[in-house]
Amino acid sequence: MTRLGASTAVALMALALGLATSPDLPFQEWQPAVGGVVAGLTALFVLALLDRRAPRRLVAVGAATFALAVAYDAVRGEHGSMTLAEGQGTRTFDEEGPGGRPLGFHPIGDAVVLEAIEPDGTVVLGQTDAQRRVRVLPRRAAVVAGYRIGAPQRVATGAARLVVRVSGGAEGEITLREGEKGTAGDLQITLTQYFPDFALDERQQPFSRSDEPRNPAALLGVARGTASWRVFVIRAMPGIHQPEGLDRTLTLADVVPDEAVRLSVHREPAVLLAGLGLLVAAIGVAWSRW
Amino acid sequence: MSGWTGALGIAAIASAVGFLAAAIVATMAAAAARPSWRRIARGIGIVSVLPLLLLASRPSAQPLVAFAVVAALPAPQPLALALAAGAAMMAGLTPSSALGSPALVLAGTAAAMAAHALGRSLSAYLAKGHDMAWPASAAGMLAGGLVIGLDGGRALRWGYRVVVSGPVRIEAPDAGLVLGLALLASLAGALLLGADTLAVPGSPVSPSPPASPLARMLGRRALMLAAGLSLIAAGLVFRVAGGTESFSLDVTRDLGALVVAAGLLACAVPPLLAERTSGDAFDDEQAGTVISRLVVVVALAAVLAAATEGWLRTGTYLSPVTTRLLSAALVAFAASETVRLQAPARLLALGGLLVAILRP
Repeated sequence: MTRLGASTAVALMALALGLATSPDLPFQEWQPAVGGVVAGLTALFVLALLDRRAPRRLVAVGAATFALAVAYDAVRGEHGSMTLAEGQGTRTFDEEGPGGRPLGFHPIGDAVVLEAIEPDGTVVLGQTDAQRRVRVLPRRAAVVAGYRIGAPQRVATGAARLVVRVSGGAEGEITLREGEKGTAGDLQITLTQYFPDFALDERQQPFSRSDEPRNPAALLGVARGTASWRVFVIRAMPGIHQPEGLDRTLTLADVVPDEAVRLSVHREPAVLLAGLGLLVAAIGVAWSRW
Repeated sequence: MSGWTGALGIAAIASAVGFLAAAIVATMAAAAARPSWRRIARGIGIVSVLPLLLLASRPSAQPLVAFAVVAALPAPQPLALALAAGAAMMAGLTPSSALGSPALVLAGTAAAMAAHALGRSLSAYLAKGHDMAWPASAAGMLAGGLVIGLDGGRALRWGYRVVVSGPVRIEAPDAGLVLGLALLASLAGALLLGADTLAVPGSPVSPSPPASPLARMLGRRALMLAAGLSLIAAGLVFRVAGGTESFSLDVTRDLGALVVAAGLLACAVPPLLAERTSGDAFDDEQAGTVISRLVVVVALAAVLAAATEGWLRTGTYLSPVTTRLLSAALVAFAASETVRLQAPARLLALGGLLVAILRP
């Protein structure tokens, strides 16, 4: 115990803890057992400090309180995110475990509806059961059914409204979503498939690299009378596909992506204990012999 | 670039140059045991702080301004002033963001104090009459590391690209050439001085004369050359980046790193020329211990502030900033506890705090 309380031992433990908890060093990615090592090392660190004079004991009490709060929140706390489009509601969020491991849906205890996204990124959420509204600012979280919801981020959903232009005869323009059908000029157009970030795989099959509209393209079903064609349109190369027998040119004139908002969801019951632990530890260090 | 932004940039450059000058004068004062030069260095440092006060209203610059102010005000420490030069450069050019962070301001304060603590360790080392070739060699290695860290190590291929925004980059081959030369010169200086020290089995308290005065002279000159080349490279990067709409965060960091490299290299040379020891080792060690303890207190206050900010802003107190600062506070605690390997521990603590400030 005396050796454990020696300055060198305490310094080595603090150094090891500091390095092991750093998010910039990949210890936890290399070995998942690092979490257990950190817990054990923290216990030893607290014991080593308890063996010393009063200010150090205060540091030990602060460190122990903070460590217990973090451990409690790791076990009983809930973390995750929810992604909502305007008008969409949910009663669950996507829970994440340590290291961002997905754990599935977790009930939130109330129905939450995304009522509006303001230009500055503020999100207005409606709580159906509680009959109240909350505003989640880009830099200010809000409490919804006991959870702190914050950090709203606009994300692409992968869906969009596509503006298809027909030229080279009876001209026209139409806005379609995937699966929708409409008429432009003398053509019946169906938006069969949309690729927000078009690319070809090794078998030359089309796929989308992401949900972001970086290289939008679409496969259209085009019909006139009894004749029908499949036309491929890509915004980067207008008019690239001209099927035989179709005397019109189809271009993907514009893409209006559907936007959603991703919100972080947290419930940390031991937050006050963690703050108290940090405060006590800081007072203990400040009180130490100078 | 708007006129106001340009004026702020000029103020920051003036401030950075002032801090560099103060660092060099402070080093010379310590090496030559001239207290009057220390007063001059202190005066230059304080004057250099003044232009930075213009930047205090920019939230993104506040942690860097806090660093520079705390580095310059208490005492003229060459290491702290060299780092303050980089911080001043970055403060003037960093892209502005909407909200400030008191946690990062506290972290900047703690980092500046950690630089002072490390500087005190070096002063004590110098005062004990140890050979300064080792710290000079370490400064050369550190400067070389900073140059390698720019643009993913492109200086190793004699290249450099100025990041405009996202994936958009502008090739700057002249800067790449100068950076490659600066890297070679700093590594040459570090190796020559390190090899010369290793060649003599001298007692650490009363070092023997150098094994090869020629190697030592060449090492010194290589470090001086590297300092000059780093500044020239900073100028070239600044010129290319100045042609764009605004300075990106990457360019700002690169410029800060180059100024710090120049400062470290310039401060490494005068102690090598010192003919006698100066300073009070006991006084420096005592002051270093007190400052180390203060670093822990301020770093813990920064952790508390970051936890509060994280909880209020994103909903969790265990945000990446909190974790980063907690890690740095633990390393700082280790540095305040240990007697052996104090300087490396203080260096680690300083590094941890700087990473917390500079990581987006």
